[in-house]
Amino acid sequence: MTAASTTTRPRQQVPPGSSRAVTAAQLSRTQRILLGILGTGSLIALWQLGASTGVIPPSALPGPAVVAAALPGVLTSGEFLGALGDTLLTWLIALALGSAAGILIGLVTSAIPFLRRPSMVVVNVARAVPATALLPIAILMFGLATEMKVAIAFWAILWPIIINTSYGVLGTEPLRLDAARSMRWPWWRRQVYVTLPSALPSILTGVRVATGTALVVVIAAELLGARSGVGTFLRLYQQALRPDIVYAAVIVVGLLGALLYTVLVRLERRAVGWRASA
Amino acid sequence: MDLHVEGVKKVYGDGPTARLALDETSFTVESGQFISIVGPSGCGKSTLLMMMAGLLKPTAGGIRLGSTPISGPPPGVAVVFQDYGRSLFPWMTVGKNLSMAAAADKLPKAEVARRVDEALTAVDLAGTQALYPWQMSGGMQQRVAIARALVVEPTVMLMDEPLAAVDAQTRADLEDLVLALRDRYDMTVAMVTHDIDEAVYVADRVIVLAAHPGRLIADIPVDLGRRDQLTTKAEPEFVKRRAEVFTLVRRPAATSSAGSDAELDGRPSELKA
Repeated sequence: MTAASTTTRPRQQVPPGSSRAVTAAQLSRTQRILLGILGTGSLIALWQLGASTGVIPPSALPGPAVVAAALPGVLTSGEFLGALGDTLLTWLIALALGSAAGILIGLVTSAIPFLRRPSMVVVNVARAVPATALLPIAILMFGLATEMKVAIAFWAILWPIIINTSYGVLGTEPLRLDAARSMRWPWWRRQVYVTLPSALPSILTGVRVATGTALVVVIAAELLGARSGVGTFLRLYQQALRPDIVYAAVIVVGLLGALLYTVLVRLERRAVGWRASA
Repeated sequence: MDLHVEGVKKVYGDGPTARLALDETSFTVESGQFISIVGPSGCGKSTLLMMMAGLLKPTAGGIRLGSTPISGPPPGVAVVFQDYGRSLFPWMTVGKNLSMAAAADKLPKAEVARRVDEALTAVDLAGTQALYPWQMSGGMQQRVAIARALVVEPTVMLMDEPLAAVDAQTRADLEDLVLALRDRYDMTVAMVTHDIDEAVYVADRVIVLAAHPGRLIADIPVDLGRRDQLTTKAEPEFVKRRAEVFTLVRRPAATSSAGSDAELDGRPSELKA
């Protein structure tokens, strides 16, 4: 940390981003891992119990052992990996396009006063339309290929990102803008060095939430029509009456989603560490 | 350069909800002078300072720096805000906060670096460039905010209750620091405060405002020579001027309508410029 390299040793404050971790940090690392294992283990035990007592029919949900047995096959299947790659690429494109467009539109519409109200009306109307409801239109416009999935996911995340961006921009501390004005910064410099950093925490929260939304919507589009991707894979094996493979694939996607989310939370903390104590 | 405040008036809003924050006010701050502006809450002292800074447009009248009318933040005028926590940029290091203050002046890099060093040394914070403001104590942060104002080597420094948010000891230190900086940087200083002792201690002149509507009611010279926290406050001149200002701020009844005592608690103040 930079503080250590200087001669003055200031009153140290809580390291950035750790405010929420305080209670978790009181548990040791081992304890946390054990508790995690306990939670997951109980769930699997319940699952096993349901399967062996016959409460859950194996055609709906095979036992954990059966699903686990299907995992290596799924993980090494070119078909699944190809579908996974396809889904992830679609997700990434939608996320990049949606974030770029959403942040840009959000910044412009909230930085220019007379655009605020009209754009908020449009955003609120548009975001009320569920993305999946637009699937038939998207299929008509883009067919069943990747473009269609990107378009649907783009729609789903564009509006919340615009809203989060505007929220951040409008929440900029007026005194900081006054300070910038008193230093005779031109408009663009105030936007880049004051408004944008002020809005960044809110923007990043929007993008983090959009990450989950985009993945859900891409897979939904695949389930409901698209020609390729994990959703298509799931549909195929569901129809082939192979629930073990379906669940194994779902577990892989779930773990991947959790991993991506964790990475994003870390990145967010690093980018806006000042927020915790500012 | 002298700072001329000429018939300045500020009305917030318009129509039936319009509120007169500051009635026609005129005075001149001579070059190199240190004035303090005191008054009860709602007297328009911050509004006045923000107009002097070019951050707020007067409804009537005008302000000139030398012969140049102020229509926006002028070069050579620096502002220190009351709340350092909300005026510094927490996403920038101390060094960056300071160097960015000179961004509009388009100076050579080496010159900016020299000024940043000098300003930090002047506020006794040399070597803190790599820190972030939020890693520092309140008193240190306010010194960073003051140093940021010094980077442009201002001829005029405007301070809006700069010491209101720090503890008493820090406050006394900062009062002396600001006085020393005035000499070191050869500045004209206008400082808004609600602390009467502080107003008399630091200034060559105390401008007293009354509230509802805000207006100038007295302009009191203070002849104290070199200040010292230990002895100055016991000098007859200090005691006399303090009593004078105190009476005016506490009981402006002779010059104002009824109900002014209630304003001392600051409750009716909707004004925050």
